[in-house]
Amino acid sequence: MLNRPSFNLRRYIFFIFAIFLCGLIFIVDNFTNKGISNFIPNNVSIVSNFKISEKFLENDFLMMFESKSNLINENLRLKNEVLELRRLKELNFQLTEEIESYSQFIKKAQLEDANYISTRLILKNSNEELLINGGRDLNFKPGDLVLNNQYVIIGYLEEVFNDYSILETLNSPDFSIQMIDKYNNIYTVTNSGNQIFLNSNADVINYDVNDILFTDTTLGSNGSYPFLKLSDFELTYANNKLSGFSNNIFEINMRTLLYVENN
Amino acid sequence: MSINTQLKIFSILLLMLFFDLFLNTSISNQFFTFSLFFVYLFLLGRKYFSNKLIFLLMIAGLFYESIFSTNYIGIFTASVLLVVVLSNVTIFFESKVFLFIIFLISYITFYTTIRTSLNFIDLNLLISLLLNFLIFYRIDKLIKRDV
Repeated sequence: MLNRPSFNLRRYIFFIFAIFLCGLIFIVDNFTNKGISNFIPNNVSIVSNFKISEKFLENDFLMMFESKSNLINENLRLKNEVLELRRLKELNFQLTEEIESYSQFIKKAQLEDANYISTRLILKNSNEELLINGGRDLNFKPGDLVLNNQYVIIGYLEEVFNDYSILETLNSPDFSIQMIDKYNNIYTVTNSGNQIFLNSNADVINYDVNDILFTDTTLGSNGSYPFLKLSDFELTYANNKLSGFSNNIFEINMRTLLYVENN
Repeated sequence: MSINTQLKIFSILLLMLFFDLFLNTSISNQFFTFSLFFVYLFLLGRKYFSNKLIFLLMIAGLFYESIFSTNYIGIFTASVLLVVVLSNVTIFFESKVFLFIIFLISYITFYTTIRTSLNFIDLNLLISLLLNFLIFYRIDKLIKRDV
């Protein structure tokens, strides 16, 4: 039987020091208003540096095999061509999808005088926030609304860096947005982590369950954009206040085209 | 621990970090989350625990925080270090129940620092916890068998 080592707290002393050091970094970051945490993404273009160069896609390196037998060369060339064809097929599918999405979006968006910049999801972090392509390079600003191709709000930009931004969607626990209905009742929509909550800011006299909630310029938005319907929530009306919750979850994947409303 | 091993560990750490994010982005669902990075940290603490890990873990943690997270920097890295310490404590005790309890505590600590709100009776959390514990337990057994 193996002898187990005995537990000794001294073994972890450097780890405990390191944990304290992290705490110190946290305090400094807090006092410098994220000066440390935003230093890298504000100064380095991370996403654009990860783009695969066209030269690599063209597979120029295959030229190295010229000295090898013709058969191997031919085989590689054919393989390469098949890969290229697959890539083109995929690109074709993607472009068709994009055109359809654009035309659908334009039909609905023509009434609003704003710029819409299309973007895509890169990654989702562990806090259910989405990293999307484009940042200050595309003139994005924190608070810009993000819409899907149905012209419906799916979130807003929380932080904007050099070439990527962090998008808060309805699924993010920190999500909070103000909406208005046709009776000018103002609501705050928040997320608790797994449920979406709706609370009226003031007394509600009239409301229509089938009403759609909109953003408004009076609430700091650049225009009026639709959000969820009141009927999407399990509503409770008490003491002239309207509140509700919903389990509605937005599915956003890497193929979903997103539009950033940019003025 | 040689430089070679350290480099290997660091590369796998970064790879796991990206793979974890990529996997959970691609199979986005509301029922469970794969926490491969966490499982790797737990294994690291049990198998390769050394003071030389501190620097590697700090770099990986700070890298994640500064690029992928909107939270203040430092807290996630501290939790990464804490997970490794807690997982190392489990090697002193043979009980599987103890191992599970430490895994549970580490998992909750880790996700409390990442997520700004965490519901402790969340189905997602429970399923993810069990799923990731099974993954960890299986890999841990495989590693032991290899040794």
